Amino acid sequence: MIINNAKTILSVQELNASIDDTQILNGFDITVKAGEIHAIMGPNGSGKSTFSKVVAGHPSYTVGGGTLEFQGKNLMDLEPDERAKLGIFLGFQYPVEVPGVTNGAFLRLAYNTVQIARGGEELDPLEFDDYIQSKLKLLDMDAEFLERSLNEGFSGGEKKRNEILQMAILEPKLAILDETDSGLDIDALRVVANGVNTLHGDNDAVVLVTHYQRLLNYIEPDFIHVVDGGRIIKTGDKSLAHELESRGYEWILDENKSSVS
Amino acid sequence: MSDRAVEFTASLLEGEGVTLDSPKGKWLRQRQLEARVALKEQALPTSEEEEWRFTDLTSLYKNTLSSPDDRAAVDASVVKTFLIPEASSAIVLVDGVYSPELSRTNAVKTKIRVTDLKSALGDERLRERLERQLNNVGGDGVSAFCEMNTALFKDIVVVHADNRGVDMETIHILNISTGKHTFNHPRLMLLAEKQAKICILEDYLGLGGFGYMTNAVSELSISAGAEVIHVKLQRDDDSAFHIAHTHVGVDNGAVYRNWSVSVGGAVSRHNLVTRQREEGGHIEIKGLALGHDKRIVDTHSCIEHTKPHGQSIQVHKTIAGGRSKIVFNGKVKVHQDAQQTNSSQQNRNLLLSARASVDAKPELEIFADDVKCAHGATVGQVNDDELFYLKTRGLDDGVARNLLNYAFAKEVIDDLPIKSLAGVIESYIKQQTRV
Repeated sequence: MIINNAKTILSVQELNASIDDTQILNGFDITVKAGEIHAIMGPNGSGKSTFSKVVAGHPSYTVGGGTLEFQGKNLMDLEPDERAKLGIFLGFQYPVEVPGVTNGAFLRLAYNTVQIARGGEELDPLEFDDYIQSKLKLLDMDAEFLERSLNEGFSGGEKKRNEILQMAILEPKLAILDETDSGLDIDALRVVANGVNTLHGDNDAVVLVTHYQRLLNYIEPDFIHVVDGGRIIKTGDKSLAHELESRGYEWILDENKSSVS
Repeated sequence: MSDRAVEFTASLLEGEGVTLDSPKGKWLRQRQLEARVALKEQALPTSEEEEWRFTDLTSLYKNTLSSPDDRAAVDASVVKTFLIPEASSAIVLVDGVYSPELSRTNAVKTKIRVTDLKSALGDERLRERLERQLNNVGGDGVSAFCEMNTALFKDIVVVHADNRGVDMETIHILNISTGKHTFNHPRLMLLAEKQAKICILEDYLGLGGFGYMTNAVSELSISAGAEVIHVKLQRDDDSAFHIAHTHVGVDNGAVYRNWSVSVGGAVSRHNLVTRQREEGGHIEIKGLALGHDKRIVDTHSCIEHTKPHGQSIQVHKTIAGGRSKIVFNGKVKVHQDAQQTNSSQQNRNLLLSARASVDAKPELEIFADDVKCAHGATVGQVNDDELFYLKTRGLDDGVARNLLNYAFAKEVIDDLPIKSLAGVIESYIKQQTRV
């Protein structure tokens, strides 16, 4: 929801980033305010996933220029965990499987780490067990999930639910969900979307990175951005998604090319 | 033969072996003498020998070690902190000498006997078994250190299990070293009779000891249908030298499950030889070695299948940090008679630092044609994607790495039958792999 005079959560200007000497982001600009939901769309290889990783602080990317601020704070020199403690959450397109680490123990560790950093209270295993029940319910997950190794052997849908469960626990100010809809059947998509809608409020913002319009039927964005060549080339409201659905990306790319030349 | 190794060998031989002079121990003194003679021909090994190529013992041989004082004071309340709740009985040895004051044997049920050499020799049946089994395994994996132990052990801890039909019982054998630049040669003999069931924890640690050498030999003879769980935990002082030989014979349909965990010592070497002596038999070996600072941890294992229908599973994992050096040589030998052997070996090594090294060598010698033998060895680093993932959840670099290291090792310690040890080992991992 667009709120008048809302605080800026994420401010990105003229951001350049490269990996192994290949420049991916090329003058990326976006401003995200509290309460808003943004969708970042674009063809494969346009740089949308890179954008989400750079905001989260992936070490493989080198930022070459521009500004990257979260609630007015420069993120450039911060480690991924410091960004997480500030309130940035990245939902992974391919959540990593970590055999040997129990999901429940990991969630509690993450919760407590972030709580302490924010001046909150730690929960012991029993308290955490109580705390997490409602979150599991929200995502229609069985408590048995907590006993399994982190993401190991999870189906695509289970992994994505587990991502949103982590989002629920970490209570981010900015949630960037990278292709959260990929690999989900319609029921799982509904559950995941419902989770995001429930967790989202006036004081935080959500950025959906997606290839397809489908997710946007369930989570309604306030803004839609089309990315190509490592920067946003068009911004519109949710009607743009429908136009993209029926006409594809080509016309925008062409429009952009002619306006550049 | 290097002069240093010869001199060091000679200096150790100034020590004495068993001192009891009962006529029933005559054969034993004879064996000790024979071992002495053999050591004059063949001194302790150097890295010029193929079997010791990766483990340089110069740092050991330049020491002058002495025999430990007879009675070093050890605080019973400190010892207690190391004892495991699962054990019905704990045998404590201080610098290689059995300490009745620190041990508690009262809970041992009648069909499992844990005795010292003197009482074992007093029991004719046990004496006869001992005479037959001592140095019986032989073959691959026997080194001059083994001979040295035979020449110089002062006592033998004899565990005799004849408890068919009753529950598994756990015995803790705790070897404590208090000496500074001393040596000790602990000897363990486990005799599991038909269908017996026993779990032993062979545990080594230093309490005030520094620069000492432990040269241990453990022999396990497992009769038909018996089940033996054997956990060896080497948590010696960081300045210590730990050399150990474990020789296991597995009879018809018996089960031997071993966990060998090395988290201590400056230099350690474990020769683990398991021989399937009769048909069938199930051998399971799990190893975990942690290297930090300049530690050298060497594991040479040999699983020998001599008869048909044997089964062996081996998983050996190592974590090498700092400037440590980790060696794994895993031999699996399948004799011509050992048809339908099913054997698998997996060795995974995690390198934490650019200055650490791992030498991994799986070695398969297969002379039978109808067998299944799988093996694999990998050397890798902490996965960057896993690390990034955990960090985006708020975990700082150190915590995330620690978690991944523990996760890596977990496969080995997850199904440890002695549950209380999992937490103990976890804390060693956390301490020693901290960046």
